[in-house]
Amino acid sequence: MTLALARRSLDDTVHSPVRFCLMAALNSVDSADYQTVKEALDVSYTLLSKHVVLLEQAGYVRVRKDFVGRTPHTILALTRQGRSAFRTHLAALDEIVTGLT
Amino acid sequence: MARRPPTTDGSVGLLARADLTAQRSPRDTSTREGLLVIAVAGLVFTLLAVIFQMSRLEWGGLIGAGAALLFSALLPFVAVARRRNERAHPRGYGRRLAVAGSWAALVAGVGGFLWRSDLIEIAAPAWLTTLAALVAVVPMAGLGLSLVRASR
Repeated sequence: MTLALARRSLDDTVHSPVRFCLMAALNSVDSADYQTVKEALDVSYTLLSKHVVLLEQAGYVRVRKDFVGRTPHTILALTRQGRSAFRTHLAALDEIVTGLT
Repeated sequence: MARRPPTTDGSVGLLARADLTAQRSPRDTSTREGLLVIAVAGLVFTLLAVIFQMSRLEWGGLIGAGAALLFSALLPFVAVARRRNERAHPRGYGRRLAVAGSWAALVAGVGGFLWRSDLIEIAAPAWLTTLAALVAVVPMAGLGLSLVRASR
């Protein structure tokens, strides 16, 4: 793969720092609850929600909401499409860091 | 997309590292969820062990009905509590849970056919039916135990 092809393979939806970290976290597990992801990424509820919605709309993340009393208990997981997009993005980054060598 | 081989100094690419990382258990699993999965396995074991032996027990019908009632009453609470305590699940957890549930259902079906259907005459010593009930729930209990271990 050439550097140019790798550059074109980068996925804008994945590339934002928060979304990239979020997808990396979810790629390492089957699923995780919202609180665990929030603490791992050290971001606010609002910011995390915003990025989760974007990834959900792209079909990369699946969201399941339960309620513990009145408190929502949200479970996040990558979809098959999300895992594939993340892998493609990582492979492109792998290629890019090799530069012109 | 072609993957580069590991470099000569032993380091590997991001993709390979992500794959390696995904094989490890996450730190943020829930001890309580693991214990609740083990509790579900315990409930299923008790129900199956009693049901497989029902016909050989004095008051077997009553004991079987009591076990079924207890199981039906407790399972929803345990299942809801398990969902409420969900945290991170290791890769493949959902598939393994589905396989463990299907395995328990399969053993229950075979055991029910052998010892409850009256279609065939087969000996049902207590040790054998208890062992069958145990075999049915071992994968599920193991899954719960793996969550507890990973959380510590």
